[in-house]
Amino acid sequence: MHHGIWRADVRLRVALLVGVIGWILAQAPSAYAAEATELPPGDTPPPTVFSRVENAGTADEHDGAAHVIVYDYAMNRMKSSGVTHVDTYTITKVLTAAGCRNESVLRWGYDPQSSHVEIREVNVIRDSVRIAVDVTKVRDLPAPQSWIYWRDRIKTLQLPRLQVNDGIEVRTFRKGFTYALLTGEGSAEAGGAGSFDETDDDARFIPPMPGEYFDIVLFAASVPIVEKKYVLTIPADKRLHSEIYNGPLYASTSYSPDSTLYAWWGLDLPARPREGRQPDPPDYVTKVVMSTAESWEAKSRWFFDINRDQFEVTSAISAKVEEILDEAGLSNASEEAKAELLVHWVAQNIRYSGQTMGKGEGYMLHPAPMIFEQRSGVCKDIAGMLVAMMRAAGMDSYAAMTNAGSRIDDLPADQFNHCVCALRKADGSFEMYDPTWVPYDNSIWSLLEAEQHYVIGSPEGETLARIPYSPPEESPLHISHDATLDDDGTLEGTFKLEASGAMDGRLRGLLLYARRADRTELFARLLSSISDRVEDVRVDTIEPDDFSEDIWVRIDYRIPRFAFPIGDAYEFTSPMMQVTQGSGTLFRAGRTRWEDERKTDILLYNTQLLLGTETIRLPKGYAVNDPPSSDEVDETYAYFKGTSEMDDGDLIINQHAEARRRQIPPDGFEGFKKAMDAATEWGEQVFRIETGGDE
Amino acid sequence: MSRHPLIARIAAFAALLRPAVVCAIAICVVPLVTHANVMGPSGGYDLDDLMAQAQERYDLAALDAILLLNSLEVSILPNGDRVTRTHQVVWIETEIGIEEYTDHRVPWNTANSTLNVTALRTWRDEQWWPREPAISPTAVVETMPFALDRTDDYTTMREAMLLHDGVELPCVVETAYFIVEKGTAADGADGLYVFAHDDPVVRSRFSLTVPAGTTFHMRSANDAPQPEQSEGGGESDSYVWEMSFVERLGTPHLDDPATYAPVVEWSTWVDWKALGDKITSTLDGATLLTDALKDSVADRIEHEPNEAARARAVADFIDESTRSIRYSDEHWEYGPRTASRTYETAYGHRLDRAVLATALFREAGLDVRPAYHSLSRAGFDPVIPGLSRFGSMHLRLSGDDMQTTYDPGNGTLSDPPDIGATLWYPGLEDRPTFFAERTLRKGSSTLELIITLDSEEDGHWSGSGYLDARGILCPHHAMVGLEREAIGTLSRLAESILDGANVESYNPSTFHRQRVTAGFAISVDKSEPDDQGRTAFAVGSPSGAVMDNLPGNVTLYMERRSSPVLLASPLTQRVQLRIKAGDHEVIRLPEAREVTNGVGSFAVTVEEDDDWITIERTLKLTATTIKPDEWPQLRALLLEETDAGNAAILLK
Repeated sequence: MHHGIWRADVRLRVALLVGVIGWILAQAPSAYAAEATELPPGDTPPPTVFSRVENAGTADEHDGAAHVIVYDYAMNRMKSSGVTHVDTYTITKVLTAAGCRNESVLRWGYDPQSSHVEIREVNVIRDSVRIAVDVTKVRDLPAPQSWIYWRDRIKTLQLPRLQVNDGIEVRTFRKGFTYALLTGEGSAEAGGAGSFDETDDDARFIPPMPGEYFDIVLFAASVPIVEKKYVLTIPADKRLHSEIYNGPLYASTSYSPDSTLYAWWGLDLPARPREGRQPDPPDYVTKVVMSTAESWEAKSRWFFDINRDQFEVTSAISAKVEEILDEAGLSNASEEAKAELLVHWVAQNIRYSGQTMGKGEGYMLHPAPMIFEQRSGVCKDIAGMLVAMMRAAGMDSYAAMTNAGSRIDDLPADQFNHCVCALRKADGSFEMYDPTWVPYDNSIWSLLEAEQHYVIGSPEGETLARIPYSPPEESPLHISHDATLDDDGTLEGTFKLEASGAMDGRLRGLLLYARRADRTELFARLLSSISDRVEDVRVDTIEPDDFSEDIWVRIDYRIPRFAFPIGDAYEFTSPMMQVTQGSGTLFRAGRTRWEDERKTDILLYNTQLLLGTETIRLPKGYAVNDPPSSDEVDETYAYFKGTSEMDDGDLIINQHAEARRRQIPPDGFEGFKKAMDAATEWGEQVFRIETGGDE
Repeated sequence: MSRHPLIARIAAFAALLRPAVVCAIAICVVPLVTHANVMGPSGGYDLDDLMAQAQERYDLAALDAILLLNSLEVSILPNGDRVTRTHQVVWIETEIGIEEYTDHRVPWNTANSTLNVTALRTWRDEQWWPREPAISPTAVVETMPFALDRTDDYTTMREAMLLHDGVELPCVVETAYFIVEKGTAADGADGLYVFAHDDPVVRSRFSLTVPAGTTFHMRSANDAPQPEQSEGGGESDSYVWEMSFVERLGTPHLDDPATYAPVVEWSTWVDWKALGDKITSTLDGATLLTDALKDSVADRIEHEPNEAARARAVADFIDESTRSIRYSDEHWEYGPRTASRTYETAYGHRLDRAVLATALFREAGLDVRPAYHSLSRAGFDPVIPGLSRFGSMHLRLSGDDMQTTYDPGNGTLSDPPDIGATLWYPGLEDRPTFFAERTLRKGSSTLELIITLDSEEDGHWSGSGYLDARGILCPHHAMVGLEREAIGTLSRLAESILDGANVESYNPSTFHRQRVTAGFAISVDKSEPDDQGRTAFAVGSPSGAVMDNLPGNVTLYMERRSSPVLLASPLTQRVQLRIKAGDHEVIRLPEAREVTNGVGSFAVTVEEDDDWITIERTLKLTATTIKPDEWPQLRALLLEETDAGNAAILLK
């Protein structure tokens, strides 16, 4: 007994000692520097906050950056319970007047239900002077919130008027945990009131997976970083998976009898590149992913267990399911047909607007009866509603975690920002459903989420899985245009758009931009890329919430003086090409004006096939001599070919475009852009019709 | 027996609030007294009856939503408090209905206000949701405005999210709340109520309650009803305006819907001067600068050669030193921070930056006055003293040799012609001035541009140009300056007419705010021939002329519109291009064309005389208010102006 106590005491002392040594090591330079007088030739004194600020460079040395992160240090100390205490120390240097202006207020975010942040010390470093900022002036305020209303909070602190070359030195203490789902900006910051005492009961800070730790640490920011260091100590009986992705870092591992200490650091890290249509930063900036969770299967079981009681099927839910199936005549239909009906009901009737349920918010799904009554929630609650309704219909359904818009690296950390539904079929395999992403989309799983990783929560434990690649043929947009060109240059015709897969959702989404009464103007705007003279527009389509068939839209119109008269001839460009090249909805890859070079991936979200045929009946006696064609561009990530021909007085123009991957790496950009440029050029192709040509 | 002052105050407040309180009580009581399958009464209205009226009047399948009731009540209390009560009951059928009416973001300032939500419920499946309690405890969420999360001094602001439970299409959602603002109406208050909405309204109601005997101004316009005076209990006077079956607000929306939609304007300001005094005293009372800040201004302007350059230097200093916070400053109306505090914190909303700018511009030796421009470029007749129909505060800067306008929000200095708008410079003028009262020489705004070109041996073209521009089309504001402003403006103008055109030199003969005439030398780069060997000239629309002076809501692809087009002035532009074709073969010229209708005319003429080709295009807009049914006529003229067929010359 005594021996045990002694051992525990020793462990505590060693743990404290390691923590203290670590802290001292991190801070030692400032203490040591003051006393250092003589150094061997070539050696430099350890840095101080003053030397760090002074040596951090100028705006010119950092590509004109308004400020730079001089030093970003985090010491994470994990307890056996999983509660983690984090001491942070950051130095920022303002380099320009804009930096002084922009950094005048400091801000920290936290969720009071699960985390705590204490601002311990803030100083302005000016030349060789440390100007203390009164941290009792820190304000504790509700956070800005939109769509998700979980009552998060922020802390803010006004700094005195800054001057160029000032440093801002900040020490904080944090503890708490990171949401498993719906993480906003990487790790959620821990926090609390300024009087926090480390001996307080830590129960509310125990993470959702008790005794486990994970983090995803990005080694890049919107401004350059001179030095960033992340240190983690975990109890000796814990084991850690970790891996560095997207670039090199320095790393070290050491241990004491009671803990293991890991450190990762980077020097002179450039600002994160900013380009259009990028994936989320974790896909391309250098990062460390770490977790003590044993495996994906363990995480799967945890997720299943913690939400085990959230899918209660009440009599009201059962009655609603019965009503939905009955009204659709599917009471005795296949499981697949019922599931499709239910996913659309949930998608259309549980709107995205999340109220808080208090304890467990963020990683637990709201109880199905609550969501059924509120008819609103965030992704996890919407998915939970579908799980419950499927179960009410006798199906074997589960909640699952995924990461929308970003990859999950194969390390069992909580790399999740989204929640979906999995239906176990008779053969034991799963079919994935995502009600959050299919409002006004005739899919059960949006193809904007193809190739996405996921982990299903099940009692047996599932591993990391991935949605298959979706080829362009699964998301086609067919555009046909039949028109007649009068001999006065008036064009009159009909466009028909038909879409499936991801393009079904995009085209339905277009209908949501305007009130029903303004739908004609909506499509007049689409056709205005041909000419502002568009008139007599008439639109026929299905309602956007009609999932009995894929979306189609028929647009009748007339455009006086469409063709450009030159002597006895007319000239014009393809109306169909103007419509598709002019609309980010119809052909996002083609509409975007791509830069000449890329440093980061392009994220288009979906592949696309665009097939267009345009038939223009020409005035009698007119024809195009030698109808042109574009070059065929057949690249790994994209394709384009445009052709034209004359057929019995009709000018027939075709286009065939493909975006072949939803995410395109920088080394594939050149070929991708070549195909998109070909589409642009085909849109600019002038067709000249004249009498006496080849009809 | 005297009552405790606090109790007396509460009683007086209750008396003035009577309509609002009655409504609030009614809403709270509704769930307890209504039959299970009727919505019941609310705010003094029978909601089932309103729904029945909507069903009878409208084709529900063609609409996204119908406001069964849209009500705004404003009460001014004797102590200067202002109580604003909003009550909305909406039938929704589509996603747009959900987005517009189910989750409300309500701003209020905790420093001087309280917010009380009295109804937040959904009628579906013949019952109200939530069932108990009347307002879900998690459905009202206090948030910080996104724009203010790094602005310590503004963090008393909140945006309350009011979230409806139980929404499933179709359904009826009801929202009611009131905000009490302490003392904000003590010196005066004003406002505007537009009866129409983006969706039809069955019953649209505005009520104004003021302490008994208060003299106030009000005006109903555009077929809005006159008020009915209701019982005020002797301590207050209440007025109610109500309209039934109000059609959708005309589209596209205009910046100032009061120019065309049924509206009530009201004000408790004694007169314009009282309001102006409040504005100027607000500004002047906060402009004290520290010595250090004065020194900074002195450093910035030390080497600037004239007043315009000093103004620019100070404006740049403000931008460099203070973040512009894009959030409505109405929540701090008449209560700005001091100039020194704004500088010290390094951020400011429009009003605070205006205070800082006032102090700094004055320190630089300039005269500074607050300035207001009407939301509508066509102006309005300033009958009711109030700011509702003006845009945000600007500053008018003037000195011995300059006059310009500073925008505290974006930091720009500009001096466009002030024709058309209603303008007000509190402190300089006791009341605003409407365009109709200003003297505009020659009646309309005109731009005449003549360009003559001859081909050179190396393939480029050169020649001369002449510009005569007046009124709102006068580019004086863009040309004035110490650098390349004038030649840059003329180059842009030439380039808009002919691709590749450059102005090499110029000389003005008249140069003032209302008129500029100038001659200039022009060259046009050699253009590459197309695959048929043709060289194209396109006589484009001149920059800064008619097309650039149309309201932003003019979109040519719209065949119809249900709101008017309002212009600041009649507009005329004439562009004449003379080209000496020389050895070039003329492949194509525009055809002569003339269109004249009720709102103006368009004409293009073409003359060929020996080697010279002369093309002249004239666009005249004679009307300044183009009604919705006249839009096709205006559109016809503008389509002619933008038609490539009327612009293209092909030479070979």
